[in-house]
Amino acid sequence: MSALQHIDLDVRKGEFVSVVGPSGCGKSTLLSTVSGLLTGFDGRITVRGDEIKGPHPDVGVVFQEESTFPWRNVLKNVEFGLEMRGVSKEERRRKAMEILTMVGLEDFAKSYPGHLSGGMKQRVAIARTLVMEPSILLMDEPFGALDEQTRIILGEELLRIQRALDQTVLLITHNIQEAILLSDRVVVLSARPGRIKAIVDIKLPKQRDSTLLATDEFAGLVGQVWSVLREESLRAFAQEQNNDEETTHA
Amino acid sequence: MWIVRIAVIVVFLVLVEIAVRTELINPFFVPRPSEAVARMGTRLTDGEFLGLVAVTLGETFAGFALAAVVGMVVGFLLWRSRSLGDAFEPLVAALFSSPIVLLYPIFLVILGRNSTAIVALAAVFAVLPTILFTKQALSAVSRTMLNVGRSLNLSAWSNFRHILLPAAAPTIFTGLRIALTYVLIVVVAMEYILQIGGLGRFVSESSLLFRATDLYASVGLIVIISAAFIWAINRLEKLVQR
Amino acid sequence: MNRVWTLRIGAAVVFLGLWEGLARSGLVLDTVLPPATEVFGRIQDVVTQSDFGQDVYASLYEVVIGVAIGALVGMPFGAFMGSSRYLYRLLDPLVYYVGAVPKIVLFPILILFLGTGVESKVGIAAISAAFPIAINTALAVQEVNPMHVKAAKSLGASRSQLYRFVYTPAILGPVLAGARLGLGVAITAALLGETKVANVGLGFRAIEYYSRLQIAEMYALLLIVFVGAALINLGLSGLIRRATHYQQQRVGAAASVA
Repeated sequence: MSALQHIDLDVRKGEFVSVVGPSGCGKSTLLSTVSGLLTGFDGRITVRGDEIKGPHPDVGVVFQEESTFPWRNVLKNVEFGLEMRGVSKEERRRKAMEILTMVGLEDFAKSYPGHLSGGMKQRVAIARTLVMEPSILLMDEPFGALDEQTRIILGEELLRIQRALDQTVLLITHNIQEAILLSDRVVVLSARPGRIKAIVDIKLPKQRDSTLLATDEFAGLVGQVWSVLREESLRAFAQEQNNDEETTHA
Repeated sequence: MWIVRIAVIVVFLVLVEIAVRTELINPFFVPRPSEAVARMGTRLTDGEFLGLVAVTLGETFAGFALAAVVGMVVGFLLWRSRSLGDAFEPLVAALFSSPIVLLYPIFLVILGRNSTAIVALAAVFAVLPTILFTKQALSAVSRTMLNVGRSLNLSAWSNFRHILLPAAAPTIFTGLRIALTYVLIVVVAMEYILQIGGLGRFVSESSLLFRATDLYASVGLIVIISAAFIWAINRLEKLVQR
Repeated sequence: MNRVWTLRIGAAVVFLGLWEGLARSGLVLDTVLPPATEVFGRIQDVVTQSDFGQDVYASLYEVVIGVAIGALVGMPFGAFMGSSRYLYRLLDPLVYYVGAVPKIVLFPILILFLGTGVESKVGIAAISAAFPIAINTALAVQEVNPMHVKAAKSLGASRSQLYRFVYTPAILGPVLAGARLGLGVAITAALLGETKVANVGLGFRAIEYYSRLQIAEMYALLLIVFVGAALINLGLSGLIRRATHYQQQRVGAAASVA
């Protein structure tokens, strides 16, 4: 069975789009295809008309799992991509410090990731991607391993940076609030094989922060997304149980 | 903590001293710890003895260098080719837990009764953990780390040099530390058995000539020297891995 | 046939072929490398020697009794060491550093006390085995998951029930793994001791063949010892895996040479 089917999605420049869906629906697979890390599927993905056949220099990826390099300090982690591209030492240092200031880690430039909290490490990973100035940012549950408060704060920060750099963002998440708070549109995927079940427009003001979480308007949007997602989650849950039974009987 | 540890050792030695002095333990078999410790002191300032230590350490480093180079290359190959790894990793693991040292007569027959045989035997034994740890270290590098490299379109060499190697280095280093420990053990054991070379030979000669004080002193020194050696490489490992 | 076995069998064929070819080429002396076929042929001679049964018995005796004594000393000591955080931190480095010393150098001291017979080999086997057994037992006791203990207590387990139903299954795997390591080092230690000072045993016999220049017999005997040890190890691993199917194998570091 394929992970995804009939996915047809256009993301406009400068738009922030989140993808939510039941676990195992192929959310991460979707991101892998767009990032060019997964090839050999039926279909076409284009960036400004260029077909994606491998990692694209305009596309930056932030991964779900811990991906900072423990053998490099924070600064050298952020410099990594520029170093690989052969950017001069002074320039990459300047750019890396700029981004580190943006994510609030300028005081930790010389620290090693092993000494940082999960939230800080993830900020390093985000900074490492941002410093490459990708016009398109793909994020696979970047805050998945963090606690609720850190998650909300980092989300706000991300939104601020995205607006400042006018980036296009595709965010994979399983957190409905996070998706709504950050996005212009929320795409709800169905249970496996993932198809687009609904696209919810988030008509909240462009300038927003987490105080919106308490508003009725926000609650209404959560209800709207959840009503679609609930049905799919139940289906995914049933699928999972069937799979379990199959494997135990096999 | 080390003060307590040393105190434990001192108390033990004092008890033995008392037992020997009261002839609870036959003084013919066990010299007074005070005498043995004093002898250790004189041996350590004795150039001839230090020469033996140098011989043992020389053999150890030679065996280790061989094992490290061959082991890392073979480990890399077992990782690089999936089928080679599947076919031979279990074999290397099985050999690692087999009594390789007992094959020493074969090494004597082929290489002669000399240091070369000892170095070769130690290297053959120590190459096994090096291979295993290198292979496992490379296999354990997380997909995400490698995906970071891929998403930046790194060349195969850059990917190896900047991601794979540094990510695998700590585990490889652990393998090297274990290899070095084993080389030392095999070298001293074989020196003793064959009565050639450095420290091990000294133990064997002392026992043969029935010099109990020298025997205990040299065994004690071997314990201290190997412990110091292993402590040093553990420290080095920690330093490198931060 | 799948690729893995093709490679393995291919490698074995190449190895044996090289061995046989090199031995038959006349490039090396027969007393250095007898042909593989000759070595395999001598296995029967070696096994049917009148002393062979005696040698096997002596070596097995030394190893089995040695491991038993090593376990009798190592397990309680390990359990004691692992019973408190302080003791563990105090003793672990000492045991670790002494454990990493080639124990065979204690052999001459054992000869002083126990003589040149099987007893000194039992002794060296016991000392060698005691270290991995103690280290693994201590580690196992230290690493019993406190949450499991809390859960069992909250569910009303008594102290003895706690030992029987929580601690024992938790430490069984690592302790048995330690015993297997102990057996491995005991085999090496006992037979190595036999090659130094003994008048019976498989190690002694190998050196006898060596000094009498019966090189093919020596190869054959070492082959028997090596395969025998591997089979014992394999059989034991299988048994342990079955006894502790519910947990992952975790083995503490312990030098597996004498």
